[in-house]
Amino acid sequence: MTTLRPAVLSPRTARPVRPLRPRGPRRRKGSGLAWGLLSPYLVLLLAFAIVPTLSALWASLGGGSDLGLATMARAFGNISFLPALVNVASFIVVFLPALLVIATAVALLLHARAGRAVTVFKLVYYLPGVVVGAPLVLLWLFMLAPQLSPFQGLLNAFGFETASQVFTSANMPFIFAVMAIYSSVGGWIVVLCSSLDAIDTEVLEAARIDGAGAWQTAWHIKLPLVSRYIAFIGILSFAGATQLVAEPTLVGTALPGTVSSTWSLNQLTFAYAFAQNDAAAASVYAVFLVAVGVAAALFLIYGLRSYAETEEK
Amino acid sequence: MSPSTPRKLGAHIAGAVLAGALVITALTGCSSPSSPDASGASKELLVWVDATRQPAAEAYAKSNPDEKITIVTVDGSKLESKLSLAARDARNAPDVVFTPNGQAIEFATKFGFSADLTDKVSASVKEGFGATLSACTQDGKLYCLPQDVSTQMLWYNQKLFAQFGYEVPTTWSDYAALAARVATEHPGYVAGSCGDGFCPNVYYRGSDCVGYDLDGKDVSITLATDKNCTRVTEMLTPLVAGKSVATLSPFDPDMATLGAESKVLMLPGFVWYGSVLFKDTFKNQNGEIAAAPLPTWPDGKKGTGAAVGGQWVVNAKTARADAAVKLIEWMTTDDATLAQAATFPAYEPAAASWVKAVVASGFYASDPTDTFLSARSDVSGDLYAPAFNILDPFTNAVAPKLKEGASLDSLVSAWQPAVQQAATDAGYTATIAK
Repeated sequence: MTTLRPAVLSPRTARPVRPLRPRGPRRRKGSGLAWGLLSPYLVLLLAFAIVPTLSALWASLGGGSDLGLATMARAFGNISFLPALVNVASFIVVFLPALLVIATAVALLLHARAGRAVTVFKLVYYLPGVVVGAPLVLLWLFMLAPQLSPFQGLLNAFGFETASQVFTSANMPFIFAVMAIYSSVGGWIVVLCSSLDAIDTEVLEAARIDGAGAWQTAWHIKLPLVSRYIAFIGILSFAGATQLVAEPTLVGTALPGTVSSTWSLNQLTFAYAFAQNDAAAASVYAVFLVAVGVAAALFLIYGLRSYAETEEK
Repeated sequence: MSPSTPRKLGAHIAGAVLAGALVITALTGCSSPSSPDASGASKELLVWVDATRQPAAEAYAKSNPDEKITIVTVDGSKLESKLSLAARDARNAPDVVFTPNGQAIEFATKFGFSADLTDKVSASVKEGFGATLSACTQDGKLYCLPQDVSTQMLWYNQKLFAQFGYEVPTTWSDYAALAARVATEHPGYVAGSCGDGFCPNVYYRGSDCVGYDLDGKDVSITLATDKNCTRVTEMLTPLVAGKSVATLSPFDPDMATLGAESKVLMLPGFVWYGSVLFKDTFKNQNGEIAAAPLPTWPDGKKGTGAAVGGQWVVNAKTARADAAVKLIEWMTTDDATLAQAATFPAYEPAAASWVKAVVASGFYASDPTDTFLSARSDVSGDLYAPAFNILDPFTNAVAPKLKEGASLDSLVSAWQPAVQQAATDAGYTATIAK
């Protein structure tokens, strides 16, 4: 439902030290061309992000009739709202830290041992990323259903004999997190490797001359230098994670009665918009998701910057 | 404004033109091909059917080329969301819709979609449908014609019954006793299913448990107070705990595994289970599966929830109402077509032809004709027409916890608020009966 792409909140603003802006006529040079080149993006941003967000905001306010209090009461009072919020939150708690830690750790490891093998590894890590959406869910349904899985022995060893033992409500956040990490971590590893490659070799050389080992270089030099990229990954992944919808929907279709049809917030939004024909209540959830996404982005940008600034002091 | 030299200005213009071209490419790339002119579009008869009814609808379109019928296959589970969009866009709205889930009344109340057919269908045709029309009727108005009637019966594996020396239960207390025996004598075999909305659809509605009292726009949820409901909860709770009633949907892949291993001893359920579930999904052999009448409660009550099946709905705003009604009448009453249909026809005069064709398939271990035909008399006028039900709340609020081992009677407290929410969403004032 949410159409606001957090990409607009580029982590460039997270730079601890801002470069001096060129002033005077130099600043104006080419600004028309810049706007011209930006305009396709701005038009699309306006048409598919800002206008829908504003119209959702307007709809959620009841079209201006009663300040939207009745609509909000209806949306937030739904008995499925809190469980859905808890479900999505528990998914994010599992997914986001694991994604950031794995992506960062693997990227740092690969960067520490540069060579041709690393290129091969990057490709291998990236490959699962081509499986997304419905095929991804089907793939993991097969992997995790003990009767069908190539890892049947392993699943049996953990006491799982049937699919219904694996796909329980308690396991869902972990299952969805595994699916999401599997498909997205490779792409982020490649992004982080590129950002590590962009670090000035003189900086790394200076560190080595100062006697820093591989671990110290990674922890004290490389990690702070790529931290804004990690924040960027965090923002995008958080926004994506709050919009979880395909995974629970498909698992619920394949294994009826296993997952509520309103397991995630986006499913609840969908139910209100298309099953209840209640666009106003659906818009309340949509605006809520935008607000949560923006708040998380601001926290990651400014929280990280103030952290970096205290580190420097 | 910055003073621009001609060269800079040229660069600006070139940039703007380039950007503009990109925008145009992007926008036209996204837009769909333009639709035919409005007058041409209004003449065709747009029909939405599910995959099961598609061949029959296409046969009708072929034999009536003058009607200019366009058939679009829409999956039953996506029908509601598609219709909710189409209801806001009159030009692309279908003239006729088939709902496999009996949502005609819902479409009338939620979207104002369903046309009032009361005066458009002749009395003789109405008579042929008998009590099954009640699922299409609200406040005296007829909103659809029923395709089929989902009567219920007790499906059982006749081979296994003979092997184990069991007798087919005729009352629910016999059923419960036998299911309890299965749990101890033949663990791993299944005597029923309670893992999604089919559980209340079969067991609770089979006990005439509606789940709520309706008084105008006021709803009182009675799952914990109505004796017709509580007796089912009491019967099923120990059977689910004993695992002979599996916490699996009949359509769960794990259930299919059990069925393929011939471990489904008996399964109360709908008339179409025979072909759709036992024959096509479980792949049981010819001569294994038989059907007996649904067990009865001491007061003689038997399922009435059965009657809601697939329904044909006409768009209230269609420009071609007569052609639409003609089509749905043919789909629901044509004897030759119904004899080959996948499901049990609601139209009484065609019922016998359908059963004859089913028996001829040779799948059943004993002749199910009497069971099938007698189940029709279970269908009463007391039906489940409101725009909410107790089934989806069971799937969402009860089934996931039941699968994790919670006892059924403890979950009624989660089921009732979910039904209350569904009733509230449908515009009723809902309370839980104390």
